[in-house]
Amino acid sequence: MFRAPLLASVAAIALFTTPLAAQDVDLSAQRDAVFQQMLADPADRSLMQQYAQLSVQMRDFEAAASTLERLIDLEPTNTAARIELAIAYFALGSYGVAEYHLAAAQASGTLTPDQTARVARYQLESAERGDGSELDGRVEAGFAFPMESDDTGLFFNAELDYRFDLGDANVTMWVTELAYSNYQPDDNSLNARQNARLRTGPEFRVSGDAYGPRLQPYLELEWLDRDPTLSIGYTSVAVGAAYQNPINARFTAYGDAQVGRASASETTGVDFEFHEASLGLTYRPSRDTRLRASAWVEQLREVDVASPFTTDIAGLRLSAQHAFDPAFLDLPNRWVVGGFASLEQIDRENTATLIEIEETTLGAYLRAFVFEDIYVETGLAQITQDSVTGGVSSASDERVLTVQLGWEF
Amino acid sequence: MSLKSILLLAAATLTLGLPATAQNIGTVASQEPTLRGTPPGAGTRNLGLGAGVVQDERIASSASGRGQLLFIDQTTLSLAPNTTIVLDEFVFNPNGTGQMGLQMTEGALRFIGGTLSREQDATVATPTATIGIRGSSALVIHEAGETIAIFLAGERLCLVNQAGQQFCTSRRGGVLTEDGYIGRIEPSFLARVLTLIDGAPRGGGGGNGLGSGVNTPNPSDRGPVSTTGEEFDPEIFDDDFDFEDLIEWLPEPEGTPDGGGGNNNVGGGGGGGNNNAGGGGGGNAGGGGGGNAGGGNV
Repeated sequence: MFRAPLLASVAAIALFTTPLAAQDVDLSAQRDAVFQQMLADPADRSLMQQYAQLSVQMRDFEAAASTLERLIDLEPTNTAARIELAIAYFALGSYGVAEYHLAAAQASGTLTPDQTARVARYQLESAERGDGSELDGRVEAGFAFPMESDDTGLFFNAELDYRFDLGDANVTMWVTELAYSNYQPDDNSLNARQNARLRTGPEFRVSGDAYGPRLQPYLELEWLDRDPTLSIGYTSVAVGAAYQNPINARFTAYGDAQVGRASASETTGVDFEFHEASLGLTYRPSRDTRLRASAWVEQLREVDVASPFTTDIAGLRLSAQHAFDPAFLDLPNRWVVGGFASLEQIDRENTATLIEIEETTLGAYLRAFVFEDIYVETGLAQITQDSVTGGVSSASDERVLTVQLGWEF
Repeated sequence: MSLKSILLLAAATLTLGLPATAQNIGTVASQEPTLRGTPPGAGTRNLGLGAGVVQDERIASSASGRGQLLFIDQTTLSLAPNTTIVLDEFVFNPNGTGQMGLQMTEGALRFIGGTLSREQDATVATPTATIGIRGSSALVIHEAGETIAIFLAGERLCLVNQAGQQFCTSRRGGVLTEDGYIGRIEPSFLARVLTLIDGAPRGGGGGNGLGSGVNTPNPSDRGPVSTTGEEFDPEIFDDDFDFEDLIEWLPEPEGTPDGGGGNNNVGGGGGGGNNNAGGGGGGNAGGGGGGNAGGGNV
């Protein structure tokens, strides 16, 4: 079942990576050649510019910073170069040094209005970031329009993430994520639901490197509230571990595994145990573009009933997104366009019944910021199911359009 | 070789105070007003812009002097006034491997790493400690008999004191001394060190930037990047509900079999019955892994 999409995933990544790897080699060779000339004439502005530009293209902001440091040594009153230097340090996450240079640029008294706005923007960002405690979140509300069914409804999502800096030399963080969602179709529908999740645990830099593997063992609590007549509401508790590791500038590997137990909310419901694992690979052909391939397996097993159902789930997903500055607007935040395709196989059985479901989903969305923190997101998805229950096959389709307004902070 | 060539070579060698066989490992990329260098087995010379430096050379800045050295592996050292260093180890193989080490007997410097410190530590030895810098930029100060190392960016910074104890930090702005990790740098102290190394910032000139392209992207949603371009994806494990999660709660397509023993399950990707935990598409009860690819930041 998964061979074709798996091969497609590998082929897609290979298709993207091969020419980019060649481009990397080419950029590196060009930069080495410029560097050799620069060694002989380190104050040549044209060579410095070429070297810095190539370094930025190679995402080597450290080399760009060293070149800009030299330019400021040579031209100590060059405020524009100092702003570039601040931005290079900002890109490296050295926010303290960035703030120092931004303050110096601001104090120079020579900034143009554009430079003033840029400096203010980076000062704000630098102050908000850094290896310290951090609180951010998002609130969204919108409409979902399923085209094949009558369950058009309002939805609301909220998310709060808190990263508490434990203060040690390797920036161990206690990460807590809280998310809540609510979907309310019309009054006659049974599909209204509320869902909340809380995940909390320390995040460690395993190797002691800033960009090495990170591991977060966690505790996760979840609550699902549905119409009581459905008897599918539950509360669950799980423990797990999440891992991610940037392998190089283009690839990041990640994984997550958890095991838990859910208690039915209604007396007519059934408790179940579950365990799941997922693996993924992110590929970034540029800093603005991200592709992900991920796969997961999961098993849920009913407990304390005479004939328990066991559900096995396996899935595969490809997704892509690209962030860009819309050319026709001067906004401090970028727009994001994305799409995804997923395939999931669900087998549910007990001693008497076997249900097999294969579901494919295709979707695309655009998140368009209209103010710095306010966005409008529009999405369209198609869901197709093929299922076999007790030997009887059926197929179905649904298309869903969503429009939502969001605020992130 | 003609007599004229020999005489010219001898004159040049005497003038520069360099052994004829010494190979440049770097160059003076800026200086104000001068640096002085003492190559091994030769006399002290003034190092002007573009002058080559060699292994084991002692380089010193005066009370009012500072400068920048650019090494052949693309490492950059910036020296504060009253700083003396010895470039006592520099091996740079054609395949990019090798080692770099220097001594700093007094003063302050900024180290911005090149190829050699990407895979293994470059070392700066002071009278009281040895600092290892890998994939990183750092500030190192030795004054009043104490060594202070500040991690600016990159992978990590370590310090070994005279008792052999090693302390490391990967916190940007983290400070190490012989006593260990002492916390984040205060902005006022950072400003003092940067002013010491670079001189006080001067205004009034305006000027054209370098045009490096570093300021082209909007900063709003970009995370920090390592010195080799690595960066974390902050949304991989985000637990919020996004567009994909939303789809998973929407009504099942018409005609979907009721797999839940009578329950009209609309969530969890059609998992049937009670089994929403884990959900379809790796979305619910865990949220990470397979899910959450939509709507996030790059």
